[in-house]
Parts: sequence; structure tokens; C-alpha cells
Amino acid sequence: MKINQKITDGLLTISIDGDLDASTAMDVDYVIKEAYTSKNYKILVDCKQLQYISSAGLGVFISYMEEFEQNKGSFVFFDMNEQVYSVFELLGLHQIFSIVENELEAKKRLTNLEIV
Amino acid sequence: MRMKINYTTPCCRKRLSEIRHFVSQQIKDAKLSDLEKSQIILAVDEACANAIIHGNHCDNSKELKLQLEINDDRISVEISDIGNYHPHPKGSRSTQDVVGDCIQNKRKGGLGLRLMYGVMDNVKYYSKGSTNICSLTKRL
Repeated sequence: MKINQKITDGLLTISIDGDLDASTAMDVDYVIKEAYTSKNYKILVDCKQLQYISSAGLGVFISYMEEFEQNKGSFVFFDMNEQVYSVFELLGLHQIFSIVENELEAKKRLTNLEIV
Repeated sequence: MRMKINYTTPCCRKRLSEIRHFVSQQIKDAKLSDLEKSQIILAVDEACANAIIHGNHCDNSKELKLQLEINDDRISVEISDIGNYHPHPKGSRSTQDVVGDCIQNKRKGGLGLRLMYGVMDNVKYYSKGSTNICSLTKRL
């Protein structure tokens, strides 16, 4: 699994390429912890190349969710494939996390957080 | 059609992708949609991750054994090891409550079993002597 990061207009995009499972979840955990420390609370998660996610991968986002929201931030996932989406759905997380079609919508969703 | 295949691997979390690949190869012709196949792979991955991490503390010298049986009416997977992982039974708590608890307590773990229960028709943990067995069944 590879992780790429970029900051555009104050929003951090984390792109995950490959499988996010119990052997790779700690790499994503490290990146998110670093984002939190750097006060980047608005995170776009690019899932275009995310082939697989298990509970260990979901656990990373779940464990940081409240801390990011307390700082008026959030995770917004986009470009997710059907298999990965179904894992969120099995746990009802599709109703808890923001999951949108594409990057543009994801940016709009995060920008709207400032207005609300 | 009846097929029984065995697979043995060290208790190492880096082997999880190989396990998923193995399962995906074996069930590729099963009468299931691609989504259903991906969910069976997920359930097996969760059971193996629990056994490797919690039962055997990623000890490479220990073995994890999988036995996959494909019949006309079901797919059964038995994952066995000599570890010390004995999960709590499913209980009466809803998945929503368990997820809420994970969010509130900032917990990273505890949802793998929920996924296994959500995907498979039957999930059973039992011991035979010193061997722990996780049995997963999906009806076709």
C-alpha cells in the first residue's frame, strides 16, 4: 500500500493506493495522527486506488473521528469502489462518514463545514 | 461439486494479502456475485487477522491453518491455530451500538467480528484439544 498526501486550498488529501488491512493500517494511522498534530482537520480521502479495506482500516478513521469533528474538521471519502463501500455499509458507517462521488463534491462538503 | 483445500501460513500479519489471494482463487467459480465473493474474503481476512494478532501475537514460528470446503450449497472455511484468542459471543448488542461505542471510546478494534457476522450465515468458535477453530459458513 502507498499513501500520497497533498494540501490544496487548506485541505489535506490523503490518497491510498492498494489494500488497507491489519498489516497496513498503522501507516495510515501515522499519517492521520501527523495531520492532527499539524492541525489539518479537514481531510479528503481519495479512494480511487483503494482496492480493499478491513475493520483495521476502518478502525483508524473511527478512532480519530471525534477529535477531528471537535476541531470543526472531518473526513470526506470520495471515488470509492463498490467493494470498499460495502464494508462501510455492513457496519452502517456509510451513514456516519461522508462518502461522495468525486473530489469536487468532497471539497464542497468540507468547505460547507465552515458555513454550518 | 465438492472441493476441500488446505492452506498453511505463518502467523504473520503480512501474510494476510496472500490469504486473501488464496481464498479469492478458490472461490472464483462459486455461484456468487463479485460483491458476495469479496465479502467472504473479508470475513476470512478478519478471522485470520484476529487469530494472528490476538491469538498468536504475530509469532511467525506459529502456524495458521485454513481449510476451505466448497459444496454445491455452501462454502465453509475453518481457520485453526494454537493460540489464545477466545472472542466473546455476539451477544444482544446491535452493530450500531458497538460502532457508537468504538467512536466514543476512540477504539480502533472490535469491529472485525461484526463484519464476520454480517457477511456469513454461520460463525462459530470452538476448541478441539489445544486447537482453536473458527468456522465460517456461507450458503449458496
